[in-house]
Amino acid sequence: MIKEFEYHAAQDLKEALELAEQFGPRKRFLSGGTDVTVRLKEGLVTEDVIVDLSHVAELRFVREESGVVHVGAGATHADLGASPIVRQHGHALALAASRVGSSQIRNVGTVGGNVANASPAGDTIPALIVLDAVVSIANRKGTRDVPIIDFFTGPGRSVLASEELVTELYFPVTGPGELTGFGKLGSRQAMTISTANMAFYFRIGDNRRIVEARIAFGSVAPTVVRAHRTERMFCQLPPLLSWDAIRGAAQMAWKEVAPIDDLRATAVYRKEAVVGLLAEAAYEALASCWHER
Amino acid sequence: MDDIHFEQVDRVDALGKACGTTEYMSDLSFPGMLYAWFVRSKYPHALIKNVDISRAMALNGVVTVLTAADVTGFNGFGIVNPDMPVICGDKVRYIGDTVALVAATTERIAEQAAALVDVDYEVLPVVDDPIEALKPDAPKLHDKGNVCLHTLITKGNVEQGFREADVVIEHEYRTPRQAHVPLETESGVAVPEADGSLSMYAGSQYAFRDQLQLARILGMNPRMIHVYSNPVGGGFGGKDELTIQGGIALLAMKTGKPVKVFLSREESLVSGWKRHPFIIRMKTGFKSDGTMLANDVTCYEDKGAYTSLGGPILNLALEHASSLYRVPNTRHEGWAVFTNNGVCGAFRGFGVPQVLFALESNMDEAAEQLGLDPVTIRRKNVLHQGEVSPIGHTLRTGVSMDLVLDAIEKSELWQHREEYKKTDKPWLRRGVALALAPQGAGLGLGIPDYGGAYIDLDGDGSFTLRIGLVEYGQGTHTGFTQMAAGLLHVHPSRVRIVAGQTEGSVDAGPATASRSMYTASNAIAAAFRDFGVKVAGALAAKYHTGADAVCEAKDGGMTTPVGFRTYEELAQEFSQESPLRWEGYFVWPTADREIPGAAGLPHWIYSFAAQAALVEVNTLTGETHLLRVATALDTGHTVNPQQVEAQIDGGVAQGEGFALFEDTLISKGQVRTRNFSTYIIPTVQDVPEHEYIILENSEGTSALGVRGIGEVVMVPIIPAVALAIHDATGVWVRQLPSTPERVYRLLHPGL
Amino acid sequence: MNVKIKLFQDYKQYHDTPEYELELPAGTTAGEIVRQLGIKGPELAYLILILKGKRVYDEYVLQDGDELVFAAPIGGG
Ligand SMILES: Cc1cc2nc3c(=O)[nH]c(=O)nc-3n(C[C@H](O)[C@H](O)[C@H](O)COP(=O)(O)OP(=O)(O)OC[C@H]3O[C@@H](n4cnc5c(N)ncnc54)[C@H](O)[C@@H]3O)c2cc1C
Repeated sequence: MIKEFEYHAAQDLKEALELAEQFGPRKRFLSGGTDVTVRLKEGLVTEDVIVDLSHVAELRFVREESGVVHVGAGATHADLGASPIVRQHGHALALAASRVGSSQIRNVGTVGGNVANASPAGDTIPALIVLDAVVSIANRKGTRDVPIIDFFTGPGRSVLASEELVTELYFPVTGPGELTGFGKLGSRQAMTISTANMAFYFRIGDNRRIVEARIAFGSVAPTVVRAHRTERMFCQLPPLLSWDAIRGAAQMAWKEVAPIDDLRATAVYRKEAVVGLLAEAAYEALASCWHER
Repeated sequence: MDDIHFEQVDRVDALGKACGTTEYMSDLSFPGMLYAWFVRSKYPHALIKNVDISRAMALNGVVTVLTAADVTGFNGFGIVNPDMPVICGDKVRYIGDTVALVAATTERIAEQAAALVDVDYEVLPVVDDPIEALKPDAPKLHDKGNVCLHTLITKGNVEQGFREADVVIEHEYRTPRQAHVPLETESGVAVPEADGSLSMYAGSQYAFRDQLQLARILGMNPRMIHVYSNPVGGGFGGKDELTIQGGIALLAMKTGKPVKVFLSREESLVSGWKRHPFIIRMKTGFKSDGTMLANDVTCYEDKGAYTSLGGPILNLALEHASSLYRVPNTRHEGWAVFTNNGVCGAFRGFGVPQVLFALESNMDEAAEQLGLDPVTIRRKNVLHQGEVSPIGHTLRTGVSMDLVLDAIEKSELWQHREEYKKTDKPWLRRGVALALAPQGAGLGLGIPDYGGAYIDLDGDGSFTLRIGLVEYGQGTHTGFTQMAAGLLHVHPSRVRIVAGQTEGSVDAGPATASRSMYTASNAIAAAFRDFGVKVAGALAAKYHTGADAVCEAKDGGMTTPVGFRTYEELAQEFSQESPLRWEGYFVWPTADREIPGAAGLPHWIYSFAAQAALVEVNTLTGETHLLRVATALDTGHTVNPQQVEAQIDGGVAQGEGFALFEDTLISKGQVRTRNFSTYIIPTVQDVPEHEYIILENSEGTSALGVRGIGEVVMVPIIPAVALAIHDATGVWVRQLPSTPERVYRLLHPGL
Repeated sequence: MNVKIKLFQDYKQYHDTPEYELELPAGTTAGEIVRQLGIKGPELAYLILILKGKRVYDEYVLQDGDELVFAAPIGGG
């Protein structure tokens, strides 16, 4: 049974911020509602006011400005998957967004909701992390920026205060020589919460070596995590395509994740699976890149 | 009548369903309607010490709350044995058991009131393993113990067979608790009528049986209960047994108001019927040339809490435990065992998918050990018409095992499997495998299996076909329409159907057991014969043409001794003689001898299919994708090719779900997969490409040559997927569903 | 007139042989046979009478040569 609640549809950002301040911890934002309505149904929403952000046009955009990609919190997964800017300059994010749920979910679910929801399984989060994204947060008085890696404080928890909302995410464009990718393991091809997910960023130097790597894993710890030691392994790869070498580097991920057993999978299997996800996606990306040259 | 022409039309129910105008029973509303809530058990196994409804009754908007004492008739239901209480009085046996029923003015109030019903329980230990449940000291669910049914069928001497065998394969297999997940969950409206009768509007697979079960519960004359059960928003066996009908019927009779319920997906998954999980121990012996010598099978069927159709399902499984292969020595033993693991009942395939997964796996393993290919070993063993089955009866009707095997061997997928298996990624492996299945159709020996149909000639010269068999998505009503139209020589648009209701349609048995098309073919043909006879008789009486006058359907009318008459003309000519109705009845042929100790066996008519599957396994994650399937299916005589393909598509998806995704996980009696985020069914992204090979080996006992195909299309795909994983990776899958983690662990046994 | 009675499933317990023949006066109804056999309670509620594939009810007047089937509408496949 969905409980009774007060409902306000904000028409613009200003009104949204006013409502946020007025209701503070009593309110829950709703953007696409694909997380909130499920939680409402399950009786997991403790707040008794819903502030609907889906009419706030100012939050729904994707643009590139002087080498930085800006994605509005209200941009849907479908927007991201279809955006030439994101596909070109934040490929991992486009891939991740395209693997969220199904077309119906992608048509309404937003990136802001995915981030604010702070699920360790959120698919866009590892992509945003390896893209070095920054979360722009606003309240009625002003704005602040938080690097996404510092945004999450635990499963379902973030640094957002009750009168704040996410306005956008931004990250530097990726260009030639920079590879990003995303991989996801679920229980079927679509409409599946990630048993584990993974994103990477590689910058390839002139010597065809990986000179900078960022790797993030989801669903294998209380929050999405960076895998620094695995990144270093990738930076030591020889400049030629070797499946064994790539798989060996990916193996380090075993040591950097701390998954749990749940209904979907056991912890030990999740560890194995993230290694596989990384090896597979990295191999494909490096193969296409090294082929091109 | 084999030369009948079936005019091809779109599905007769397509437009309404696509446009949303079709009214399902769950769409209905009536003035003054109340909403029901089923107060479900808190514990999977407990004694009920006291039920206090006072707080619930006090809630504004609550009209009534019923407990076991309020059941007016017999407090139990069940197709075979009515051991499932409508409202539990002294004991609960699974987490979906009903302890009280609420009717209120809104659904919300009903749900709130349900939470206010105070039940005192004395918790009992949970019985959650069928093998443990058989032990003498196991807690007992029912007074008579935990054994619902024990069956043993033997032929020859298996020990002797194993002694002579060159290869003996022995394994234990496990299968999932698959849920039917129809789009329309269990739902309906019970409406008390002014004359004291009750109308039940609830999608189900057999209105005429619901009527009797409800009469038993209410203590009413069955003819005071009118059941409307068509159309159904999906059934797959899950609406063969009663679901919510007993509860809302009691509430409606008590309150005098229409009472509706429409279960949420969660409630449906927790309380609804499921496929029985099986543990199968199978030992199969072969000669070095692949000839089967012996098969020793023990099945443990996890019955869940109540009987329903658990007995016949166990027996059909045992009937098929050696398929229709030539096995001289067999020992098929089965135990249907009560546990607190939900409730299990009828499900498309009815026990056959479970055992054939085991058998076809042993078969491929033997082939591998003997260096034979999967086609050769099967061809060596398939039975033909006239031979003796593994359970000892002579196969008198058509047997197409060899035909479907030949056809699947010639399929494009099988012929080009080596090319299909190529992949350029080091972590991917592809495999192809095949399997075949017979599926006994109809209800079996000792159970009257019959069906009637009426054909009414309406005033405008069009027809109404009245038949009990419901449409729950199979496409049968399109087929019935085409069959009637083909016989009458009219366009199918001239035939409308009234089905699945105790008023206005005629009992044709349940829409189960792959029996609808076959039963209808004979009942409709019988009604059509009655039509010719009666028209001839009426013309003879009027025009004195002589008693032996013959009328034949032709071009939208009939040739008669007094010339050609269109149906419009006939309708006008005989409009006084009401009703212009022709009746046809049909009784299924059965074996003349029972299989000793196995009620219901043997079945007499079979469906046949062979399927090949191409899978791709990701060895890094264990993920398995079903990429391509070929199906060779014997329809007997295809009425509607599009619907045949649709049945294959749906069957393959449901079989794929069984093989790769689906399982209702229950631990300590509590259902853990309560919605579609954890109960995983294939989506459109997961289903494979299809190759359809349709064979027509006419079934001689059908007036139109047709066979049922609804169940068999989901059976061979299950072992085929498991065996394709083996072909891809070398590991044998013994437990389904073959989830990524299970496959991964098979690939890495040390994990 | 002569009528054949065929008892199935649980109804077999109501007579020492599952199939038997009866000599009956014209006008005998199916319901009279049901009462003669003493079928009661839930078993009576769940009883169906079938004549050559056609359901008949208590008031059906039996005809010479009829084969009346007593069964419960159980399933088996
Ligand atoms: C069937 C189904 C499948 C799904 N599959 C996936 C999947 O594959 N991968 C995946 O990652 N997720 C999946 N999800 C979860 C969900 O769709 C995503 O997390 C989605 O991005 C949430 O966005 P939303 O706009 O719908 O969020 P909402 O439900 O509207 O909100 C989610 C949370 O974020 C808060 N919030 C929303 N917008 C803001 C804002 N601008 N500022 C601050 N807080 C805000 C809300 O208060 C709420 O707590 C699925 C959900 C469903 C129902």
